[in-house]
Formats: sequence, C-alpha cells, structure tokens
Amino acid sequence: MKFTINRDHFSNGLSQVLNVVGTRATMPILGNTLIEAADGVVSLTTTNLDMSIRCRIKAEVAEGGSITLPVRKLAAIVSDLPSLEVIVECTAQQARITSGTASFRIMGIASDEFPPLPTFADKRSFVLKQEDLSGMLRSVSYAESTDEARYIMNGVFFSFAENKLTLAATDGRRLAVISREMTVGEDNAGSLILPARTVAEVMRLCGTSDNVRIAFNDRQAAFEIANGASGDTGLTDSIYLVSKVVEGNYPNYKQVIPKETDQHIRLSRETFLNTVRRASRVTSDKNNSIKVSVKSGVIDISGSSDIGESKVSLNVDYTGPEIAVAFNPQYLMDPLKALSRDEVIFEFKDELSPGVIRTPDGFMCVIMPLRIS
Amino acid sequence: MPSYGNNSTPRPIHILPDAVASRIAAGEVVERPVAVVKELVENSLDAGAARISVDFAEGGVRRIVVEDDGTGMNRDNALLSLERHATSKLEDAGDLDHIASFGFRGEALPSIASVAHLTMKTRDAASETGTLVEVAGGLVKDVRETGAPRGTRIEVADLFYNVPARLKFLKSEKTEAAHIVLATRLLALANPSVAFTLSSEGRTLFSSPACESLARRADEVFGRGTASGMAEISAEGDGITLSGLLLSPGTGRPSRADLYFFANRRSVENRLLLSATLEAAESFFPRDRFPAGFLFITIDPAAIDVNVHPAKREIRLRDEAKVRDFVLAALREKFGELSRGKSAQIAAPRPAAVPAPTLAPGTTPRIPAASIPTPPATPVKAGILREVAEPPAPPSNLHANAPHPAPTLHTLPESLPQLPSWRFVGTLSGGLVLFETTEGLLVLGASAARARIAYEHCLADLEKGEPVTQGLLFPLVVELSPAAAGALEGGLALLRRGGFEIEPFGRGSFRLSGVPAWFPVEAADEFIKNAADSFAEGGLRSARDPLQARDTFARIAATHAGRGPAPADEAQALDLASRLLACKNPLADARGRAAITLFTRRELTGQAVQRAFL
Repeated sequence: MKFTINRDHFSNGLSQVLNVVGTRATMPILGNTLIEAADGVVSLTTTNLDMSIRCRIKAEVAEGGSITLPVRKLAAIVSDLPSLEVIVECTAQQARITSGTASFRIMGIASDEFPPLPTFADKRSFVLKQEDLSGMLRSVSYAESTDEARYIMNGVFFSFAENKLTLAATDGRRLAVISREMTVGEDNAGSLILPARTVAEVMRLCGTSDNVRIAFNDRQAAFEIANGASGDTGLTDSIYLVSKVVEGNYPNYKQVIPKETDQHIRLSRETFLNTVRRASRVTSDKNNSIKVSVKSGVIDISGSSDIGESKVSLNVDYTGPEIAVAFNPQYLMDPLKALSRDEVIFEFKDELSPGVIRTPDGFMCVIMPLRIS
Repeated sequence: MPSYGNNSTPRPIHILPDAVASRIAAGEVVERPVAVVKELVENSLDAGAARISVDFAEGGVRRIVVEDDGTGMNRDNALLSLERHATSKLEDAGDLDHIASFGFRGEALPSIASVAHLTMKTRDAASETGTLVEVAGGLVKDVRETGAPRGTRIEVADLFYNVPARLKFLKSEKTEAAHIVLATRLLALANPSVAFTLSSEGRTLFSSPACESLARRADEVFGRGTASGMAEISAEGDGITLSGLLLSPGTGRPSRADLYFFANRRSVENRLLLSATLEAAESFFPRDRFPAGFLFITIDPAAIDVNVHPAKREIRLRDEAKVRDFVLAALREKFGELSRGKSAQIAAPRPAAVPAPTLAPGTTPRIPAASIPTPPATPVKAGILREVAEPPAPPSNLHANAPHPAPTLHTLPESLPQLPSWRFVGTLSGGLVLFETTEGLLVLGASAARARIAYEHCLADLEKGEPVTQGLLFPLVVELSPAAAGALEGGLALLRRGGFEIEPFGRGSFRLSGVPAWFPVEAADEFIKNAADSFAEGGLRSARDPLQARDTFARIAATHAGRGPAPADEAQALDLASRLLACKNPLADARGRAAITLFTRRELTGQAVQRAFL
C-alpha cells in the first residue's frame, strides 16, 4: 500500500475517528485504526465493538492495500509533521510515513485481524438535518441516567411514529422530551434507544448544514453524516457511524407527563436560569434544594443550608394562588441551559406534583419535586 | 453407673515428699517454656542488666539460655537462689504490698530446676572467679569454680524431662516458639533502655540496642513499620501515669490483638484496661475496627496486686474505678488530639474558613448545626476528667486552658463550597484518587468517601427527622418473600423517617415513590431487600434500640450509595474531596474502609522508595 495525502486532511480524518477506541488490554487492535487505500480514497475506521466509525479522505493512491496503526499515536505524529505532503507506505505490519525531512516507521497489526464493520439490512431509515438532530439531542441528553444498573435509561429514546420524531431521556427524577414533525410512513415507524456514548459522538460529528441519514433495526443503528461544505476538510463521502442500540423496553414516559398543570408562567429563559443559579449558590451537598414560591406577580426562588440563605425574586405575569414547590436546582438549570429559545413556560400544580418547563416547539422537561417533610 | 475407686481401701493422708511438692508447684509457675524465659529475663532485669540475650531451641523444650550482664551472684548466693522461697527481693510480708521488682516469690529458679536440667554460671563484681552450678530434677549435681564474666547465664535444657504429663500437653514447637517470641518482645518493649537479643537455632530474631524512644524499640522488636501511624503519648494525674504508643484514629485494625498493656512495666492482660481503651476509641474508629498500641500504666505499687496469677499475667487493681476513669479520659483526649492533628494535616493546604455570610436584613441566620457527637454513655467523674469529658469534636472543650486552636476541619461549616487547594494527580483503578498536598500524597477511596458522606447525611436526616425526598417519575415496585415483606412492614416507619416514600403494594410487594435526595435511585431496589433482611434478623428492630437501628440503617444505605466509578475529572475529584472533608470523621467509612489516607513526604522518601528510585 502506498499513498500520498495532505497532512491536514489526514489529521482531520484521524480526529473524526479518534474517540472510538477500545481500552481493553486484551484486544490491542481496538486501539488501532484500520487504514484502507483504494481508488483515490483512504478510509479510516475505528471501533470499540459497541460503536464503529468510518470516514473517507481523498488521497493519491499509488498502490491499494490496508493496515492497522495505533490511532492516537498516529494522530499525534501526523498533526505534527513538518510538510503538507505526506507519503505513507506500508507492508502488512508496518508503515513508513515520510513528510519533508521527517520520516517514521510505525509498527502496526495486520488488517485482517481488525473486527469487520457490522453490516445490516436497515429496516427503517430517515433523513433529517444535522442541525436539527444535534439540537434535539442537546435538548434532552442531559437527562440520561448515568447509572449502569438502569442501562435502559443510559441513552436517548428515539421514536419515529405518528408523523413525528420524538426524543426522550430520563433518569427517573426528570424527563426531557422533544418532538418534531416529519413524515413517517406506517411501515417505517419504529423506535430505538441510542446509548449515551453514541449520543455524544453523534452530537460531536453533526455539523450545521447537511443532512444525516438514520437507519436502524432491533440491534443496531447507523448514522451517515454528510460532511459539511465548509472549508477544505479532505473528507469525501459521509462519515459512517454504526452503533449497538440499548436492547429493551424504554419506560413508558408518556404516562408521567402531567395531563394538566393548573398554573403556568411565561418566563425569559435566561432570566429564569440566572435567578435559579443565583439562588442555588448557597445550597450544599447536604441540602441541595431550592424553593420556588409563586404569588401574584412575583416568583421568589430561595435556598438555604448551613452556609446561609438566599432569596432571588423575579417579577412575572401571574395571578393564580400562592404555591411553593422545592426542586433540585440542577434539574431546573439543565434544560434552561440546553435550550436556545428566548422564552419558556413554567408549569406547576402543587407542592407534590411535578413541575414542567415547556417551549412552544415541542419540548418539555418534567421535573419531580423534592418533598420536605 | 460408673464407680470410682470402688476396689480401694482407705489410704492414710501424708505430707508429700519435697521433690513431688516442688514439681507440683513448678507446674504452676512453669506452665510452658515461655514461663522459663519470662522468669529468667525478669530476674535479669531485677539484677540491673544492661544487656540481655535469649536463645532457645525446639520451642524452648530442648534448650533455653538467658544471659545477662547484671549484678551476678557469689557462690553462696548462687546456691541459695536455688532453694525454694529464697529471694533477695522481699524482706517481709509488708513488702508484698508494694512490689516494685518483677520477681518476689523466690519460686522461679527452684521450680525450673525441679523440672529440667539447669546450668547456672554466675559471678558478682566482688568475686574473682565465677560459680558453675548444675542441677537436674531439683538436685544439685555439681558445683565448681569457673571463669565467667560478671552477670549470670542460665541454661535450661530438656524442660519437663521428668514430667511427661506436662510434656504431652505442650502445643506444637511452633506455637511454643511463638509464645517465647511474643513474651520476649513485650519484655524488650517494656524495657527500652536494656539491650535485647533474641535468637533461636542460629537465627537472630531480633537484636535491639538500648533505645531512646519507645517507637524505635517497637520498630526494632516488632518489625519495621509497627510504630508508623502510632504516636507517643503521655498523661499523668491522680497518682497514675499513662504512656506509650497509640494508633492514631482512622481505619484501625481488624482485631484487638495489637493492643498491649503494661502495668508497672509488666505485660498484663486486664479486662478493665481493655474495656476502657475500647470505650475511649469508640467514636474514633469505625465499628468492628480496633485501636492498637502499647500502653504503659505506672501506678503506686501499693495500688496494684500482681500476686494474683502464678505467671503474673493478671493483675488486680485496688481502685478499679479510679484507674478506669483516668485511662478512659486520658485516651479520649489523646485520640481527640491525634484525630484533629491528622485531619488538620490532611486539610492543611486548604485555605482558611470563608467568612460567615452576611445576610440580607429580614432573613434569619441559621447557625451551622454544631457537630456535637453523642455524649459518652458512661457517666464520668468530673474531678478526674477535668474539662475533657466530651468526646472528640468540639475542640474548645479539649483545650480549656490552651489558646483556642486554629480552625480545623471540625470547626468549619459542614458544607463549604470551597474546594481544597490540592493538586489533582490522577486516578488509579479501584476507584482511588490521588492528590498532592504540601504534606505529601493523599489517596482518596471514592466509594468509601461517598459512603462516608452518605452515612453522615443519613444519620443527620434520621436524627433531625426532616429528610428531603426526591420524588420518582417511575415508582419502583420491590417484590419480597412473605417473611421479608412482613419484616419490612414493621420497619416502614424507620424507612419513612429516613426519607424513603414507601408503601405496601399488595402480595409482598412494596411501591417506592421517593428516595432521600442524597440516595442514588439505582441502589434502591437492593437496599430495600437488604433492609428487609436486616429487619428480619432483628438488626434493625427499631423499637428495641433506636440508635443501633439508625446506625445499621445508615450503614446499609451508605454502602449502597457509595458504589460507582471513580471521579472522572479534577473538578469531580475535588468536589468529592471537599464534601468528604466536611464530614465529622473523613478518614474512613462506617465499615472501616479508608476514605482518605495521607502518605507524608517523609514516608514517601522513606527507605523503600529511596532504594527503588534514588
């Protein structure tokens, strides 16, 4: 195998696949990237067995072939090469990299030991804008459970049904849901749970302009992320990411969405966020709660702990009864930080019922209150 | 029915021949080989020796040699010393009330001589030649002049050769040897100014020159590192002196085996001293973990009776309550000092406490919940205790006369947002986090740290009875066996008091709709099952002992809450550390696993490290 490639293109390609490496000492090949060269394209693949990712970069391929090389080391070397022109020559198990006055010989592992990318017949597939997908993921992913014992909740639930895509995440204490209309054919409808790590990777890879195609079956999901037109990245074709899905039944989140909330207040998202954050400055690990008290025309958010007390007020348009509910301040701040709209609606009923933060574009976050006996 | 002696005719009563009597008496004094070593070394110490060496073979049965450079004896005294009740240490019965020497009964030598081959070689300063005496089975076989250095050398060979019954009851050679080693160690420890050598079958087990400090002697005699983590203590009052080495509060030891007591330099077993020490240690060590140390009580010989046990292992104290109260109070104070020292050392590089918050007018300032531990269970005498009756936490109580100490960990508000100014070094597998501080290397065990934090939360919630409950979106249904379900029903009140929102859900299942805010939901299912088991076993029977039930409950809850991976980054690690430091006892979790340990620079640059790196 022999090819000539632009240093920055090569480096950019490696940075796309760098995150997906295995750390198991028993399988050193998972720390390597599979490099395949053919027909003017070099493709880079990494996998940790749960998730695999492949990107393609243009190159002058003099002789086709393949090898695997340690990806982190390779990325460090390539990004630091002195000349833009990089020549890579490989035998089955080692590579020579030459650039300007620098040359490296790197030991690799034969490519036939690299676990093959899973192939699957995608039963269902959808196309949407990368910007939309990453925005939706960002709106809900903070609510994922990080607890491995509740692995079902360790990710984001995707539902394609009733002509909309709905994403949901919950850790049992709060639930974030967002949906957006899209055409869903009857035989195309379905759902999946995307693992948290894949969620993070998809958010990282999604750009702002192009489309992303999602395909999935009961066991796997694949994302084809078209590369953005911005700048000369050297990437050709789409980045292809395939991941296991979390197998199992996602909790029936619809039943915990309050059917009716008596009271609601329109609030500036940023003002609300600032108010909660200020009030939470005095909360402690032992007493991590703030009290949201609403009365005519004003919301008081107060906190107290051994450190001291806080009270931050916010004038609002409200005429309902006086109600006070306690929350973990983090659970209020998370959605307020993740959203981008200027205005949110805060809904509540009484001190034992969940609070809801909602936006008109199909987002809601249901937050269970803290009960202080 | 069995009958005894049915064929015997009545026998006349007669006085036992001397040889038999002395062998019986010997059985009491010389129970086993270690007794020979102890008696001989004590004689050497009483003779003012500066150097004592002990050598033994085959667990001491084959041979025991004790050699010293003490005063020695002339020919007459040497022979006399082998007679029963011949002693230089006691004049009349009155002296028995204040025995200051180790020996006093005049029994040891004749007893040993009656059950072994004994060879004594001795010379006092006034004699030009030494005396060699050979005795077998209590009968002097040979006395002659010999060249000898000043001092006494006694060789005891073939112990119990004429008492086969006793020989049969000896434990294995190894066990007997272990007894000899321990006894010699303790003797050496109690007399650091005397050089000691212990050897067996050509191997030196330890050799310690006269030591200035007890710590050094402990290291040399018990092995390097014995005294690490221990501090020298001394306290005096009411005619009693307490001194020695004491293990600093922390994770403690798994058993009480490392606690040694000495009364007037004599190694003793005493229930009273043990219980006083354990009680003093109670709030400083986790449950089921024990203090360790070498504690020397010095007390007027008239207040102590050592003439209780033939081997003098036990003592009787004239005024038990007085000694107990003194030891309890003194150790409590020492443990408190050590604990504060250790915590302060760990927290050392931390910035000083933040100033108290100024509150907007109209708000009520909340006083930080003072970390006052439960007062000691036993009422203590004010006169003896002075100001130290309170256990550890509030330092002001412990330093009534001293200037108020700089604010340490214990006086800080319980929940400082301030992070410690430590350098985060990294994490190790097993959930360990490393920090560097000005004092050295701190190792933090993530799961023990979380368990400790959760434990204190839980106890505080239970005590105050106003827990904060996080409602659950998806109530958890826990299914239990009928027996466990029945047991759990009885404990629901305690669970609710702790912040669990739980109710019976029919057919042995329970519905959990809220957990304490600090409790990880994921552990709830297993926790409820464990709690039910505990209720069933009676460990959590709240009606009987609410305090005990609370503690057990908190420990179970905390263990579940502690699980999880190590902190992922520096911010998380520092956050965990600062929360741990806000705990009353940050050193270990409730089960005794170390939560944070400091390896001082000195320890790190100690010999092992130097040998490896420098």
